[in-house]
Amino acid sequence: MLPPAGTGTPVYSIPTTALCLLLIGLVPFAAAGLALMNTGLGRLRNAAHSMMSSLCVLSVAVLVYFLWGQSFQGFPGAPAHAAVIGGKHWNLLASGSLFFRHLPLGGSPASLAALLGMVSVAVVALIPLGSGADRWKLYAACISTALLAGIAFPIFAHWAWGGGWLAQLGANYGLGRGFIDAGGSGAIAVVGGLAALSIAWILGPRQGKYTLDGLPTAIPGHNAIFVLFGCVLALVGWCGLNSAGAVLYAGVPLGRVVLVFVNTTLAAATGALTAAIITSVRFGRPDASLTANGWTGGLVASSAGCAFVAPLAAVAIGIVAGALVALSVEWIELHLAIDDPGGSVSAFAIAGIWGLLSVTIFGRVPAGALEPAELSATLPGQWLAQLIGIATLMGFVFPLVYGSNWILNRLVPQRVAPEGERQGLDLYELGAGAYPETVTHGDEFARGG
Amino acid sequence: MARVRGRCYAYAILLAVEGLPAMKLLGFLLLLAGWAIVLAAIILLPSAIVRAAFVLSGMAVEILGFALVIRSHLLSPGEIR
Repeated sequence: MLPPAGTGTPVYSIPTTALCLLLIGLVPFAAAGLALMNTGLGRLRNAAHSMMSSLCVLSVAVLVYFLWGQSFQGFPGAPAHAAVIGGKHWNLLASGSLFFRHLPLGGSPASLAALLGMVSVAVVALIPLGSGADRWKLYAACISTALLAGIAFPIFAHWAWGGGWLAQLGANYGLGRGFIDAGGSGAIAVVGGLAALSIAWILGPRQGKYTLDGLPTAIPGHNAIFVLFGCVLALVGWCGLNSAGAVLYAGVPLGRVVLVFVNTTLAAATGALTAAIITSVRFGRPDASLTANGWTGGLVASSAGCAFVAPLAAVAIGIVAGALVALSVEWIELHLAIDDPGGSVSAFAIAGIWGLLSVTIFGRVPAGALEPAELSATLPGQWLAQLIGIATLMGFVFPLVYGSNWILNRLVPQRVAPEGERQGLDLYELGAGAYPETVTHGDEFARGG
Repeated sequence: MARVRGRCYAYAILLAVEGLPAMKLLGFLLLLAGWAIVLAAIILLPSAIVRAAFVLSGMAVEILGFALVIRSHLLSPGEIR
């Protein structure tokens, strides 16, 4: 076990603590935005179920993180299980106490990091709901979330944020500053996106989504207003997420929060505009849902290097993210037969990986302390640290998430019965719909599903 | 006793992989193998260039594994799930 880094409990000044709390307090807006987007992109007959699922998985994630997730994640300098491999300390897993015991909740960086982890895991939990929309049982989603929030997220978050071996690649092996993921492009978005991919595969496509010829049919979302308003809420939340992550996990000075807000907003805006332009060119008019996905992709991609790139670089990051998302949503649906109603795989997994890679291209950090002489020099080996982080997400987190959901599906089938899908999850699982005065109909099933 | 325990392990593994297509299983094994190559490269190789080459090789193995996982999930012609 590694000992704590220092004696005593460091505490921020009151203004710093207050600002961190304010930033963390913005993060739930991201969760609200995602919930609205997922609901708006789903069917009308499942709207109440979608919002109910969002609330339930959010609650489960927060509770599991409190019970044991935080003790796995830890924070830099806290006691941890480590192994000496090749003469280097490999910090593998935090060894904190369960139930937040022994965590100084008096404004210490550790307590603020725990609070940020608690709201971050809520965002992670909402990501797979987008890909499992319209066919995922409520209690199955809750159990799956418990596995995600209790195992995959805290382990990777410890490696990336909690002083784990990925974060130490710089100190141990001279690979730049180690794995940089200030706002959670990897720890939040890619982990959630890979869970979304697993869920989409395990559940299978919705009834009527694919014809006998294997061609996808359009099942448009039921409320574009929810989707687009969700984008605005997500921006507020992501500004808080990126800023708080940069301060607490990447150790950047508070003054750089302004840069983080600017970068986050620019990446989202350019991501949305790029997606709108691409869909205009391809389909003759802009597509609202893909534009929203482009916006989300820009937010996600901005996270990793939010405090380490110049605003012009954030514009480039957003443009690439918007293009990747707009093109990959269609490609995934058409060529991979993945039914992802919320576009979660593209907007989170693909854009998140791009965000991690973008740090190697645009990241500019000084080798020493992060002072205003910033944005000046690249770091040798940083690209390799980012690639190792991505390899860990693909080679460890994805099999872990897929395997846990596959076993869960063997024990408890996660997909709702065909009758429930036909009737709508609102009535089937909740007994009441979101819009009682609206008659739902099932004409799309007439084609054979 | 050891033989019984070994047989139990074998049954447990068989039970676990039952229903898991070979291609999918192989894909996930390649994902894990690729990650293991990446980790081994960090630990064992001091030269920056050789380490980078092995990390990239490990990622190539992961991509191969991911491609197999994708392939194992594609719908068969005429299949509607």
